[in-house]
Amino acid sequence: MKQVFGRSPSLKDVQTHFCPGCHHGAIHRLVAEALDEFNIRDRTIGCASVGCSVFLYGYFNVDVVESPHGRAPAVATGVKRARPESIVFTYQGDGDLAAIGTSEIIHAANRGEHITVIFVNNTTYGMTGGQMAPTTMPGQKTSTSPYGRDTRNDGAPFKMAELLSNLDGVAFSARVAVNSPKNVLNAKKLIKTAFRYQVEGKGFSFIEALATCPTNWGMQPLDANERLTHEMIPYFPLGVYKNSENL
Amino acid sequence: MTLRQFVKGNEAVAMAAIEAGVRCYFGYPITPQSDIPEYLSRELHKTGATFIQAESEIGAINMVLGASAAGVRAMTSSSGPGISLKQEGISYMAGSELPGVIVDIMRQGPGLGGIDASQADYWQATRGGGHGGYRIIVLAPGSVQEMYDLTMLAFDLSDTYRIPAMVLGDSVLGQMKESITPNPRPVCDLPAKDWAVRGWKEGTAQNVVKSLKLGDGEMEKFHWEMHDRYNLLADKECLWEEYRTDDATLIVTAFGSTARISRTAVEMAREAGMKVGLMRPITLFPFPKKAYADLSTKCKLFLVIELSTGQMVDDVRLSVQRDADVEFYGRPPGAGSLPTPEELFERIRKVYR
Amino acid sequence: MRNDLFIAGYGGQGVLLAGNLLSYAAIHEGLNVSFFPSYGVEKRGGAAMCTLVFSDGDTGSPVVGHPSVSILLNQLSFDKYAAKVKPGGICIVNSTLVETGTVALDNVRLISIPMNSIANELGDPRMVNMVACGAYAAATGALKMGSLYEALKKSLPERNHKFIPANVKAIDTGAEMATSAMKF
Repeated sequence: MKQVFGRSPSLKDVQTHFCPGCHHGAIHRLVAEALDEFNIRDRTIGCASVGCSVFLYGYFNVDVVESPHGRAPAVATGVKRARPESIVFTYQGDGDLAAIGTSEIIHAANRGEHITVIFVNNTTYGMTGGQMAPTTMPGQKTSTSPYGRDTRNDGAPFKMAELLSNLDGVAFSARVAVNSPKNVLNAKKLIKTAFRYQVEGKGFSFIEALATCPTNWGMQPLDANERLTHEMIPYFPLGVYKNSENL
Repeated sequence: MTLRQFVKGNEAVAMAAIEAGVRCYFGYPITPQSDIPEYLSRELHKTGATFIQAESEIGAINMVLGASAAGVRAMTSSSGPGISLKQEGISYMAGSELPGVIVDIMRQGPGLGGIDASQADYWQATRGGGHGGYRIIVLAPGSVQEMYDLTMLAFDLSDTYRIPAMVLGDSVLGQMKESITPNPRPVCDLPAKDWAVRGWKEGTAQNVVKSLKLGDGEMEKFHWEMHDRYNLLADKECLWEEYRTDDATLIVTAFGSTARISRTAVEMAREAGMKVGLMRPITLFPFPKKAYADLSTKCKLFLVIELSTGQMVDDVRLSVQRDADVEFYGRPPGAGSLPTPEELFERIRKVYR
Repeated sequence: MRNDLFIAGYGGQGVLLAGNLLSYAAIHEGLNVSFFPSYGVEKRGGAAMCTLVFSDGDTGSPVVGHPSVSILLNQLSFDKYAAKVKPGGICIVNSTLVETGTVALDNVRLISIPMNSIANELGDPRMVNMVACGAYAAATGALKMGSLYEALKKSLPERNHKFIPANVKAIDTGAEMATSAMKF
């Protein structure tokens, strides 16, 4: 029988700890495919963050540095400057990147560090149990916004792909989703582009990937996918926000 | 022959870092250590190494973490408020067994404090400083020459033991200029950094630099291993300087710039016919406990002098024999509070017996 | 042999440059030097002070309570530091700006030199510090004049080396003034 689909060589042959219906696995897969297609796995260094993405080293066949909460872009800066020939990426959640790590992400982006940042936005703190994130949507109930996010009290959600696209140091910034085959294909293309920018030395590249968190949203996987389609995408529009090749 | 040079303590640190082969410096301006990033921003690129003025001290220490994880010599420098911010990263480095050099040119605190000399960060430095129960190597220079020599030693010890190392100076040592001999980097055997992330090649093991330890017994094992390593440090790496302690009935003890002032006070006491000596710890962690224990078999009176209300005095009390008396004289930091040798001599006279 | 001194004035009088110059001169003579500056948080116009120790052995404490010599360039520093000079010591004062009657000095040799007036006559009011350094070398004999000339090359930035002859003149004038003051 002919095998038509298999494990990406950059991924380990293990089961993940991610919950059923969580999009982390698909996003991991697309990152791994990008590493495979450019044949850069053996010179890639991943910078894990704090949150559900902390176990990066358990899933990827690459060397990994674990970073303190929010600091992955600073850690990646150190790695890349020490080993400029390496391909360095961070993989961060929304609490990590858009709350405690805003200083590090904005400055690494502004310096135009030659790294790729994969930012997973699922509108909540996953690992700590579903607290309000900087990307939690207006009115969304979480364990620390039990009456729904009140923008008068908590501010409005951060739109990181748009925000970073305003910085001169950013070469590529896009928002993707993996909720449908069409979006997966598009996400694959843009994640590849982000890594290609680093391979070609074009500068800082940023991917915001919208993701579900069925467990903390209190939803069945399919319902979570529907929420992402009908609530998140209209608020966090998909697309390329900065592409230095088109400037 | 290496020519003598007339340089500031802070500049000596920067010169030594370059001689030690530092590949990455990440820092943030704060008085009284800004000469270090200023010097390195001017000179480091000539060696092909990286200088970044980070967005914050937190950013800087995490860049050190990343560069060190990638296997190169990396350092940062700061003072009180900035060192507090770096504690998160230092704790992660300790937990990840990463080497790296942190220079702390102490100023007054708490809070914004002031820019005059202080030794009130002794506890913060020697007790690890951040969360989780760890120690870092702490070296206390007493001259501009030692700011140079001990910065190089900090890199070697840190690489050997895979423990972050701190050079603990103060604003007197940072700002004063002295004639020094910028010696070449000493030759020593260092372990290969086969744990560093560098890209996972076929046939090699995956390298993961991390502090998360969730396996059964994994963290407990780590703590006992580090405990053993700290004991090894104490056995092998303690440094101190004794001055006229042989026949002393009173031993003055102080570190850093205070030891320099104390030494002149001890000379004054000797001229007055008093049997006074000086014990100056150079490694504050590991603390030279055994050297104190040995000294206190003969001399039963110690006078600890610090620019604080008393921190190192705890370690001295824990180190000396039970029948030795430990007196304390403190000058908490502040403008104009730096003691003169004459004042310390007066204090020696009061305590002497 | 251990020499210590204070140099004090206000920011802009070249106190730290004077300290550097004397330090380089001492290093030229093969001595160990410790130079400890202290100044206010202001970048301009505050108080400036430095303590120098040079010795053929260990320099010991960089902090000195009672120096054997003080060079005091303005009234504020005279009032603050003159009385700290050790008995038998020397106090070199810029008499253009300092009224010395304010502090009673016992057993201290006072050498008054109108440094601002001399510097002005030499054509550059910024050379007050050079006049002071020359006076120090002559009054104490602690450093050779030739060492001071040599030290100018090290303590002045390259772009200012064209001013070295003028500075040598100022140092010489300060030395002459001190020598003649010592005769009385």
